[in-house]
Amino acid sequence: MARIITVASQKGGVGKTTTALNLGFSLSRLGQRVLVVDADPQGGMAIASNLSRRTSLGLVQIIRRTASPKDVLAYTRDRQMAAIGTGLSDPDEVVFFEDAARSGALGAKILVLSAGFDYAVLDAPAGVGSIVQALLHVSDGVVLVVRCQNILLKSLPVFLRLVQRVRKTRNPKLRMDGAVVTMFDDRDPAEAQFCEEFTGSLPETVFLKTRIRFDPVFERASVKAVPVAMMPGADAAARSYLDLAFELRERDMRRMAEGGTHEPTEGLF
Amino acid sequence: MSPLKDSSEIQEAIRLLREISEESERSRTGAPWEAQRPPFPAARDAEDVEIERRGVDERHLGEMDEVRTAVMQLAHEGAVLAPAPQAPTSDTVTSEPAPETRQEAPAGTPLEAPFPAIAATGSAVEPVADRPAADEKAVDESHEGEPQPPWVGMVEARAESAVQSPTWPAFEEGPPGGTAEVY
Repeated sequence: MARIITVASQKGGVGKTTTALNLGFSLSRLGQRVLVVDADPQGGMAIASNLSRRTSLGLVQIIRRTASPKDVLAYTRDRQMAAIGTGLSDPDEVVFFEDAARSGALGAKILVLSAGFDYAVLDAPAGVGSIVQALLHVSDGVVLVVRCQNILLKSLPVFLRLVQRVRKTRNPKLRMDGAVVTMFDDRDPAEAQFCEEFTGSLPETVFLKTRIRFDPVFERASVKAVPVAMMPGADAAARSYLDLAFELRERDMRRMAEGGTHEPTEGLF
Repeated sequence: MSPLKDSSEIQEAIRLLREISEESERSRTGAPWEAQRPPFPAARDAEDVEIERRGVDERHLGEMDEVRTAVMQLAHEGAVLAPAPQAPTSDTVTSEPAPETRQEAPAGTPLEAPFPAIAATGSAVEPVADRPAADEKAVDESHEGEPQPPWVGMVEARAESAVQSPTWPAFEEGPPGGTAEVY
């Protein structure tokens, strides 16, 4: 089955959509078959990847059974990555989409669509609403997108309590894959110090080592509707997401190697 | 004064992050999504198990056979068949990219050229120029001579064996019938 990762945060504007798209793309460059799902009614990922020009169909039409996956899944030419949008085009459909999230229909369709992929990366809307909850119900892991600013960190507990609740009530397999610091600007000493204090006060497994630094090239990539790795002159930014993908993949591989046991084994065979 | 220590919300965030992370580690059970991945013919049964495991309401799974089959077929094609672009068909012709997307990109714009890293490293992947004539579209879209993208070295160094695509991942043409615009 696909490993389903929800990319989420309590606040908007912290780089969640950028992370979902570029993480998904980078995982596909590491040889994984990746489905990127834009589950945010704002449709940011579909716009930032040009998916919205590829098709206006998406999850809504799949839920309504008025379209097939063939119509809504946009594959890269190498077929390593596919993307699907929400398919939302008017306010009534947003209500329908949220109802589908509450009823379980959204989660069920995401599970089915993810079959055959190695990873499904879900771009969640900000907050703790019904759509986010539906995504967490069917996810294996959460990548928490964090920006090191006082006011933004103060909003974290609400989201974290939701993760805890989902784990306890609906999806005990849900795990925290890690928090990733985005839009990090170490030229600002105050932010850098605050970030160091915050991440330093937690066990090192909580935060992923990779930090996504602020870089104007992300905005340019968004305008061009491509992953940042496809932008000329984007070495550092592209590397950061490749590092992030590699780090997540490495964590997964280590868990696989451990075989789910905490006890050391005696010999390979 | 430390904004970190003075804020009860941030202290709460730290506590919850620590708690959830520890819970995640304690409950880890290997990688079930890998261990349970079935071969394609058996995938449907395994999906049912997975869906049941995750507690999704089965009411919403009824009559999904058609969708499921189509997804599996698409994924199977992507995994098993050669990843090179398909030869043009009448379907793809109907959804030919709009003129503006076919223009040569000026300097400083994103590249959409075939995957230069593979050709440069002499990988087993078939170079674009050597593909059969039927692969005309891919040849048309190549931007030979353009500078290599900046992350070529990274991919080579860290995932050389994994990357098998001879092309940039520009999305494929729209579905048959031309209902979608060019991606």
